[in-house]
Formats: sequence, C-alpha cells, structure tokens
Amino acid sequence: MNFTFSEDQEIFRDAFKKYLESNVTPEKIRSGWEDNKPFNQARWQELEELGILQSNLDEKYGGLGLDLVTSCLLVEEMGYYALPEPAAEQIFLSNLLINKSTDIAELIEEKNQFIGVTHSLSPNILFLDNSSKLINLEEDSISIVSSKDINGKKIKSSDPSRDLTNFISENSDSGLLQTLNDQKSLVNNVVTSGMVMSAAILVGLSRKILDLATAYTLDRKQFGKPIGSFQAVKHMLAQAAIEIEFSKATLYRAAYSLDNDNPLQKLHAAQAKLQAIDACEIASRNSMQAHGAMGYTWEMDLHIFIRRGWSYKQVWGNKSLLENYIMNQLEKDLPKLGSTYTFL
Amino acid sequence: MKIGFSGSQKKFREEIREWLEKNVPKIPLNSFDTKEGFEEHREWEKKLNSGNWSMVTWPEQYGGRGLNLIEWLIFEEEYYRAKAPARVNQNGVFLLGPTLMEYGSDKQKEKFLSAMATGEHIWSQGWSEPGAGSDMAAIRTTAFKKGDKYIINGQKTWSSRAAFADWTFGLFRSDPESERHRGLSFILVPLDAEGVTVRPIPQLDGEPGFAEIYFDDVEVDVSNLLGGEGEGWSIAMATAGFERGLMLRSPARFQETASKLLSLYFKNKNNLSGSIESKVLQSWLRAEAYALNIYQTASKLMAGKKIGPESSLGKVFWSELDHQMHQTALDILGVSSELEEVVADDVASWIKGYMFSYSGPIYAGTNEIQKNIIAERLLGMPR
Repeated sequence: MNFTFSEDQEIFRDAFKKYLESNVTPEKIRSGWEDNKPFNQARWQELEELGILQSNLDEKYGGLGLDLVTSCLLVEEMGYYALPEPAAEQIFLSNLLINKSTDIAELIEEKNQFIGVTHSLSPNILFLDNSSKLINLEEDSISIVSSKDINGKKIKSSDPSRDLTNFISENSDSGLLQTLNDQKSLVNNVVTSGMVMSAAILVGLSRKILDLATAYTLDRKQFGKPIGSFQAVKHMLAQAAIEIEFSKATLYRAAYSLDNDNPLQKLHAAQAKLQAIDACEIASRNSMQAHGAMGYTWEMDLHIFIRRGWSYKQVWGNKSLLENYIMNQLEKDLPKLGSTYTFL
Repeated sequence: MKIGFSGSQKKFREEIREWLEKNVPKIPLNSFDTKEGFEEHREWEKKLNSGNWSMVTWPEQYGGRGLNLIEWLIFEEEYYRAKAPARVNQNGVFLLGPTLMEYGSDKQKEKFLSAMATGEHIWSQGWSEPGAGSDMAAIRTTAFKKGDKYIINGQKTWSSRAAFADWTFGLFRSDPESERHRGLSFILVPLDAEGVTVRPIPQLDGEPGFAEIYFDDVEVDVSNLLGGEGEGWSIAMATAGFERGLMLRSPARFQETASKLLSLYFKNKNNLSGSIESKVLQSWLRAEAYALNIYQTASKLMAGKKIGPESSLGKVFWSELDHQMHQTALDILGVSSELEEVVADDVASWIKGYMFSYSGPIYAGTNEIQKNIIAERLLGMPR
C-alpha cells in the first residue's frame, strides 16, 4: 500500500502548474470571452508541446503513456486555473478511446487535434469548430463523425468558456465515417472516465475558489480589521476546506481503479464525483458569501471558477444519476462493500 | 502509487480475524463506565495482550508487534467487524503510549508501557479544568517542585474514565510566574495517591464516563514528569493530534456504523422517504471518504511526512458524520428508537450511540476550535 504520488508525478504536475499560472490568467480567459473565441489555438499547441495533451496516449501513437493518476493531477490543475481548452476531455475521453480501440485509433490520424466526445450524459458538442472529428457514444455503439460535416446549432452556455453546439438530428448521418457495434464495455469505460475527469476538475475548481476567498478575507477590512479574523467567516471557509480535503483521496482512488481496471471502477468514480460535487457546492456558496456583494459581480474573478463548476457538476454524471447508481450497487452488494473490502 | 494490501498484510488480516473469532466474548460485556464492566474490560485488555494484540504498532520490546499504520488500520477493521469490546484503556494505549514513546525516558517507558499494555494501569485524561475548557492554556492547577516531588493542587474535570481508572496524565502549571501555555508540565499522577479525590460525573446515558479530580497537596515523584519541565504544552499538542487523528478514531468504526445503517435502511425501505435515503447514502459515502483519506494519510506518514493541523479536518468530519448516521438511524426506527432495551433491529445500541455522538463534536477540542485551527493554521487567516 503506497497511497502517495511519486516524485515524477509531482514534478510534472508542478511544472504544468507553473505554465498555467502565467498562461491561463483570468485576464486571458476574459479576453477569449470578449472575442467569442474561448479556445486559444496557440495555447492548444503549447499544451501539445508540453506533452500534456498526449500525456496518457499510448507510446505507439506518439504519447507519453502515463497513467491516469498522473492525468488526474494534471486535470485537477486545469480545473484550478479554469483552462478553457478541452485538454481534460482529450485526455480522459478521446485518448482513452484511442488507447483502447485500434479501430478508433486508425480513424483518427491527427491525434494532436481536438476530438470531441458526446454521450447522453454530455450531449452538447464541445468546441465543434476546433475539433477534427467527433466520437458519439450510444449505449452499445460508437460512431465517428467528421466535424466539418456536422449540422448543428450553437447554444449559449452559462460558462462562456464552453463553446457548445446542439446536434440537429435529421442530419445525424452527415459526415458519418464509421459506426462500431458491440462496444458496450468501452462506452461504459469512457463514461466512468468522464466521471473521474469531471470530479478532478471540480476538486481543482474548489481549491481555487477557496483560495480566492481566503485571499479576499485577508485584504478586505470592516470594523477596523480584516474580515478573515472573524470566526463566522473563518468557520465558513474551514468547512469548505474540510469538504475539499475529503474529496481528494476518493478521487485519486477512482483514477487508480480506472487505470487498473478494477471491477468496482464505476462505483469508485461515482463516489469521487459525488464527493467533488459536494465540495464544489460548499466551496462556491461559502466563498461567494465571504466575498459579500463583490462576489456577486462580473468584475470579480470568482465567478469564472464558480460557473465552470455549474457545468461540470452536471456533465458526465450528475448527482441524481450517481446516487441512484450507488444505491443500487449497495442494495445488491452491501456485504461485499464494508470496511474490510475498501481495497482488494 | 500502489493501492492494495500485500500478501503479508492479507495474512495478518486472517490471523487477527481468526484470533478474534475465537476470543471475542459471545455475550457483550457490561459498559466500561460501570464498576463491574470496567473490570470486565480490564480482563479483556489482558486477554488481548496475551495474544500480543493490545497495541500492534508498538515495538516488540513493549509488547507490541512493531507493525506499520496500514496494518493498524487492518487490525481496526477486523476489530470492529468482530464487534470486539470497546477499548477501556484507549487513553493509555492510543494517546499516552505514543506520547511516551516519543518523549518518555527509557525508565518511564519500561515502567508504564507494559503495565499499560496488560491493562494493569488504566489511564484517564486530565486536561480540562472548570476555567479551562476550549481555552486550555488557562490551566490553573499547580504542580510546584519541592525537593524530588511535585506538590499538586487544584482541580481537573471531564476526565474520561477517571471514575475507575488507576492513573491520569495531564497538564499542570509548574512555574508560578508563568502565563498561558508557557510554564506548563506534562505529569503522570496515580489516582490512589494521598490527597486525590475523584468525583464521578454521570453522562448523558446516566453512567459515570468522566469525573472531576481534586488535588489537595498531592505529592508526586519528579520522575513522573514527561519531557522537560515547562514543555508540557507542545507535548500535549502532540497527544491531542493522536486523539483527533487516525489512532483513536480509525475509519473502520464509522464504516461499520454506515454498513449497519444501510442494512437497517434496506430492511425498512418501503416505509421511508427520499430524504432518509439520501442521508443513508451520504453516510456511506462519507465513511468511505474518511477511510480513503486516512489510508492516504497513513501512507504519507510512512513516507516520512508530518501531519500537524491537518488532523483538525478529520476531527470535524468524523464527528459530524457519526452524529448524522445515528440521527438517521433513529429517524428510521421511529417510535421504537427511544427504547433502551433490545426489541428488534439492535435498537438499544442506536440510541446509546446516538447519545454518544453528541459528544464527538465536543471532545478532543470542540469543532469550533478545530475550525479556528483550520482557518488560522491551514488557510492562513488572521487570529
């Protein structure tokens, strides 16, 4: 049992963090919003040069072949800095599909370009204009579609960093390159991966949201002292810190289970996502409260992170779906899910 | 990262499981907060020790097995699975024991550790005073040095297990000129010493789980000082860290309660509302989250990292969880939940546990104090 990260994992994560710190600032995110171009092509190329985009892609496809625990650490930082480009999706969804299916790998020639992935749990197409292909997951089949031939209609997200397109169903066959059948287990695998991905983003967002609030409460003075010295404010933020702390190990275990094909990987992923949803809700509520009216403005950067959480809580498994899934598992298998079965 | 148990750890699990299946009393012992039950539990500690199970993480020379923290967590999982008796000497084996190993002299270790492991010395805690609760640095009970003795005067309160225990450990003001957390010393006091009066205090369940201790010119040998004179505060903080963290409240305890709650829920499911379901589910999720966090913490400690104020995060988390689980169980049991006699569904243990769960957010430092520690020492907010 060694439930810690390796030095290599931490070095890679820290180097990436350094890049994000100077290259994904709230100013840069806002300028993408103003130009209506949240996807910055130059930044996408930098992410490729840094090895981030292909970090978990198999070496035979030119990737680094790293494990999903490492990916999880990287994606958590993407959440922390609210990276608008869909690098998390590339790693946890499309790279996974390429790694696990030679049929798909053959159809995707340009593996450094963004490949969108849709499913009923995340049906709107993310960054269609910036993608070369789209992979649509049905219950047991997978279709690969050429992006430029897709007939869709842009729809506005409450997060301007998310450029979304709605499928127009009567033309659903246009641009279809291939449909693969009997793919149920792969689809399940990708959905599980999507849960872990969105959980990692939420944990990163929650950490950032709390950091913004603690910094603000040190700075803002009322009654002649920083508001962070008042216990009512301290306790709100401490509660957020507690929720965040107890979402982390669950998340890393889920990434580990996914990576090692643990038979309980979907349960672990659902647990991770639910803990992350709770953490993000409490961090968002309490941090905005600590900001007072300033937190409720467009000018303050806080909302860049909070609104990103609104989306990621819902896509790739929301509360209701995850709770139902876990409750069914528990009803079926309770005797095998007690304390002596935490690990295999 | 490598998550999973080694072959030898799995074997260890089988070994403890087998021993517990053979040795755990078939009929539950009386509560250790009664005279009779206290002695029954002392016997159980002796029995545990006869199999070298009383404290598996202690070094072999003190009656332990020299096992690591992961193995400690496995031991706890099996212990709760077997429904083995509560640890009457938890103040000793989980709190004072590790403190002694870190700060004690060889002579002290020799004198106290094995007597602790066998249950010969059962320990109580002596921190709080009538004027020093959350504000522990306001301690006024004095222990002034006179020759080779400390002369102790004053009063301690909320001393867990003191009604029947043999010894107490605590903080005393040894420097008459000192204030606040300076000038305090960590001293071990036999409760049968002349001048000690113990007045048991019945708790919410009516039993004397804690007591007041009065000290009237009590003479204690200077060899009972742990660490240096005046260094008591920092030693006590280390002990408190053990109490808030994984030694005293290992996750198996809460995972067992969560599993029991789920069984109770599934049995009664058809009559229950959605809000009960979501609380039951949340209980299981949070018990799991606590367990995973503690395994990660144990791994970090084994890799040489230190855990400080982080233990406050866990203390708030498990104590709130424990209360929520018991509250939910009572809501499921409905009108039978008030019954202290067993009729069905293990009713009595839920109401007892429910009462005790009110104390979790208070003992080992109230959750409000923990949140101050989190805000000030982890988040860097001003005092």
